Amino acid sequence: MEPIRDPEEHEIEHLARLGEFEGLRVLEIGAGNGRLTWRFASLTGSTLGVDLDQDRLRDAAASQPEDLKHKTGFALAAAEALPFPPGSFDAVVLAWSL
Amino acid sequence: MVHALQEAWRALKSGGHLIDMRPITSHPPVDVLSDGGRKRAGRVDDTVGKPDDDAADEAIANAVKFGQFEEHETHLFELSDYWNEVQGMVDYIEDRWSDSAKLPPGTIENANNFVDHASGEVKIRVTQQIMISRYAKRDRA
Repeated sequence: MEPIRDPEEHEIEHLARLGEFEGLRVLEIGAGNGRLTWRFASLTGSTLGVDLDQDRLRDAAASQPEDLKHKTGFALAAAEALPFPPGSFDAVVLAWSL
Repeated sequence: MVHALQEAWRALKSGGHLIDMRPITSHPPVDVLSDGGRKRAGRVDDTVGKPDDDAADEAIANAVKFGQFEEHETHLFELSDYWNEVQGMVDYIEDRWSDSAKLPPGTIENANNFVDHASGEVKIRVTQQIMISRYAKRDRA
């Protein structure tokens, strides 16, 4: 059974404060089903989430909020071999991924 | 982990930053909350995950040591998960945390006992300690 996670919003409070994501192009490595992505993506210029689990990425795409569709996306990729040119992102988030 | 950090460094632009957020080994308390207040049922045994914690710490420390990143700040905060039923918590931890944690049988028994004798709305809460760090990308010479 999925819990109600962090109703106190400590996670987004700290992530927003340290991330300073406004206007930034952000890569989230290990995005999974998008749970965390949906919490911080509105704070960013754009967010791309990558993961190796295709099922979880499918869940992420299915749960994508309408108001974030223009600035979020997901891709199947390994953290050890990212398919992006050097210097593609302003910030990288590793959440429960290292 | 080392390769993932190298790739994160490569994907970052000059002047970019890395956020590392993960739970630390902390024996998360399991509490039953009800009209009667909070009752501590026990703790999750997350020592199973400590080698992975240590490996992650070492990987990031090496990335700093070898000049890829510079640590700017680190904070700890509490993150709580809530369930309506003890079995929901048990199933979730067995399914999602099996690589890093387990629930001692005594904790499960205590939680069930507290729920059985509780009044009002009951919640079962597990609270983890989360470490969040910000690192600046350094351009290697």
